[in-house]
Amino acid sequence: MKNVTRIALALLFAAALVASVRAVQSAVQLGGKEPRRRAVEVTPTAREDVSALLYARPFLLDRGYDHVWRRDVGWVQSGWVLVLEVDPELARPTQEFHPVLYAGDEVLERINHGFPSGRIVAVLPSALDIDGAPTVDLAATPIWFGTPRLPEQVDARIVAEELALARQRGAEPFPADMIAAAANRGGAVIAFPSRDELHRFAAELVLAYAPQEDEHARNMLAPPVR
Amino acid sequence: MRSFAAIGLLLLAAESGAQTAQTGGTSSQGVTPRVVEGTRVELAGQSLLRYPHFQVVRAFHEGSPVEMAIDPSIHPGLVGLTGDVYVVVARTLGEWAANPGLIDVTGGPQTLTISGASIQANTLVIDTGTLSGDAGTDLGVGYDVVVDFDLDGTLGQGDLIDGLDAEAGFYVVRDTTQMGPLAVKEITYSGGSFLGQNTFYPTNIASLGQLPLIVVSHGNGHQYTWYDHIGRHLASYGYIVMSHQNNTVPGSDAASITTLTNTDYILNNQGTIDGGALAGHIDADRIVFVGHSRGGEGVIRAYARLLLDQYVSPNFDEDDVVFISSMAPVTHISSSLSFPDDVNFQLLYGAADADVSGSPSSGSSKPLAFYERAFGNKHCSYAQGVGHAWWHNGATGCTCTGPDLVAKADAHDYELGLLLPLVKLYVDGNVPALDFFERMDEDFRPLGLVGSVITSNDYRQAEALGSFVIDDFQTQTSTPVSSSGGAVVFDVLNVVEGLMRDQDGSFLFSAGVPMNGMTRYDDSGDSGRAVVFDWTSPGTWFYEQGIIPAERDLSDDAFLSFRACQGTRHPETDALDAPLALTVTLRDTSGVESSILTANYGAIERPYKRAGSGAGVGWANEFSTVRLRLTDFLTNGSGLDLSSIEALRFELGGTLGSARGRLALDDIEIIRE
Repeated sequence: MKNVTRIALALLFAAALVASVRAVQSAVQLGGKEPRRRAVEVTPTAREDVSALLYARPFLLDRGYDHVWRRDVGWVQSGWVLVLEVDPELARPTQEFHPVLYAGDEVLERINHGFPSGRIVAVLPSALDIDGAPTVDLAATPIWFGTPRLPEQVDARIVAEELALARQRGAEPFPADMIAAAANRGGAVIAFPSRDELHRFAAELVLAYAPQEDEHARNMLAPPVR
Repeated sequence: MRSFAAIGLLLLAAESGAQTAQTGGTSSQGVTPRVVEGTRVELAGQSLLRYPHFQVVRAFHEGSPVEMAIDPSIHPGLVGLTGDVYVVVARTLGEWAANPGLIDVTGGPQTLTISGASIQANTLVIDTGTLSGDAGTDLGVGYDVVVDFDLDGTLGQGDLIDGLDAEAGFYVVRDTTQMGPLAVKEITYSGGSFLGQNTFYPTNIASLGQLPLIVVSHGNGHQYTWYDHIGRHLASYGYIVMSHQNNTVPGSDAASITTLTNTDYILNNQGTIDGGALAGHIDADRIVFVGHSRGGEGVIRAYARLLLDQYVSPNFDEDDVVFISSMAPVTHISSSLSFPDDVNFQLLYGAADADVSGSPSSGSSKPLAFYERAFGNKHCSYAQGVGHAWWHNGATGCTCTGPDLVAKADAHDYELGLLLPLVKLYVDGNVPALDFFERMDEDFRPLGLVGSVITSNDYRQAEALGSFVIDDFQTQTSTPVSSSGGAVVFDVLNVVEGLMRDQDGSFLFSAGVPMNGMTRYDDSGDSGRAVVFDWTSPGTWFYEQGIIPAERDLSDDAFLSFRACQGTRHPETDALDAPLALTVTLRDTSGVESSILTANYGAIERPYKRAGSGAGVGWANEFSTVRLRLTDFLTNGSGLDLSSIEALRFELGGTLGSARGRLALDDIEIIRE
């Protein structure tokens, strides 16, 4: 095959690929509501948009709470508190759909938006094993931004689709040394009576890691009613 | 306000003493009759340049002149009589009975001799703008107007009075954009996760009894401390305002839960919040929800949850939510779960919104659909040039795009200037507040709102109040028949009745998308319909609705109401490139006609000249409600017989209205009062 022909074919293929991506994106923008099936947008890889894990600490609650960050509402009794470095533009809050933050087969609960700081404090629900370690192994769990939608519209089927697409695009867990450093900064499992104390703890992490969002953190830390 | 003549009113005290207000004493000694005599008529209003030359109104801004007028064709027996015109502080029926004396508050009565020529000849400025509108925490100071024909300085037989009722003759209102008289305390506290609250209340709350509760639910990326402007404003008028931490990031459904849990929290903990300052002072029977953005849909969803028993509170239910204001809401949730139902409802929205843009290509940005879904008393307050962020008071940009952008302070004047009368109306039953919504925007708007802000005011009273709907285009969908079964004839062009849905994702007009610019459909549960048509220059054109025989007697009815908007980016809209006016004509069965030009009261605005969503400029279609008093069609002896009206005709072109244009009409109805 002549080079010109190869080049032409490559260009045609690229054009078709771009057109298909745009078609998918257009379908996403015109998409509606739960529980309709949505076309899944091409997802970015973890390295580009969720670029680092800065902090990781296991936690345990006496009283758990509903994990309303997905349609098939889960339960949070224990898990990880994480601090992630992200592309702030993907974290910019909007009223329309925005990229959902996933970790493995779970939707992360975001404590702060991550804009303009580029740092997100998040809660990853996970059971704990008999040693008190989360059963969700960060070394085996990719974390990435998925298709723009509302987290409360996400169910297990959508999570599975997003995870498969993310892996196709090369999403991988963070390197072991990064995870170890983050866990070292976090420390041993910490116990709280309830979500109230967990969120106040997480708000302090926002102040430490995302000071540009200090107003949000301070509003979370409003004096408790006595 | 009713327009009728009553000849003498006789009051008798019941033997049980129930009418003590009228009698001035108990009835243990028997019945003591008191007579209040006088003919009740609508007198106060403002003159108009064109026919009908005068309109009766309920409210005047402080500093504005007040006029009165008498139509000699309605009151022929008064022609030639001379009377003293008094403006007095309003009195109830009982107060008039106890004291019929006339004390003028404008500097002395004026003299008026009734001319037989015209209403214009009997129009008098009765106050040049001296009357006070300072009602404290209330809205509007009431005044009555008396024409004392027997010149005895008392209200008596043969005199005319505008008033003599629970409703005053007219009201003078202070600038609703200005703070009220009460000092306000602000507190911030947390009851736990997503129970952070920023609450405002009058500092003298201990002496104020129970106060209504305003709950404010923010949008995504916003803070609950960004609504202090609403808090201070309403608290200064005697309300408790609580703005809460809202769980918006998962979505509007999660936000709806936090609206409800925070309402419960403040009600359950009023004994401990701020040392118990609120204890016993929150009226859980009068709750208002105000939401912004995802919180704007959230408060609607919260109300629907109460209706559907998807949230059960020990403290309140849906009947206690007396009003909802939704500011630039998203439409993420299905219409079957997110609907205002028959609650008193306001949609507040800016045409320059760059987040909840209202673009026809967005699947979750159709705020105007919520107005169409509502069937209680409903309001759409739409401002050109206002962005998404201007409804809060955070230190952010406007989140806006488009020409002639409005400054934050002006957007707040619009927001607060309307929110106060709405709360007064639906929480307290305030009478003059309704003028902000029954009258077109240019006719009566918040006094402090700068004149350059272009706004549209769409208002419809609750369907349950039983107006006669001539045509709402919901049924009888063929163009020659109205929904009430009357014949529709027209010579305007391209008449189409259809769903108010712009279905091609673009604001660019094409003949295949006649409902271009109608972003009032979000999902299959939305069913609002209208008619559209156009006309061109030169020539005059008409669109006429026949009144079915059973409904032709309008003599006891109050108003003709309809709503209208220009069609965005249509060639005739672009060619007109201006606000639009039309003539409304009534014809009786004898062929007598009377016509009124809508330009008397305001304009059907040109859609906001925002680019995007296709070639050209022009954003979503902006409905305005036009409400015409039926008796105005009788002015100066028109000869029209209101008891036998066979047709209503909209006339366009030439001297009848705008020379060309593209118009949508909807909700054409007769208001009964």
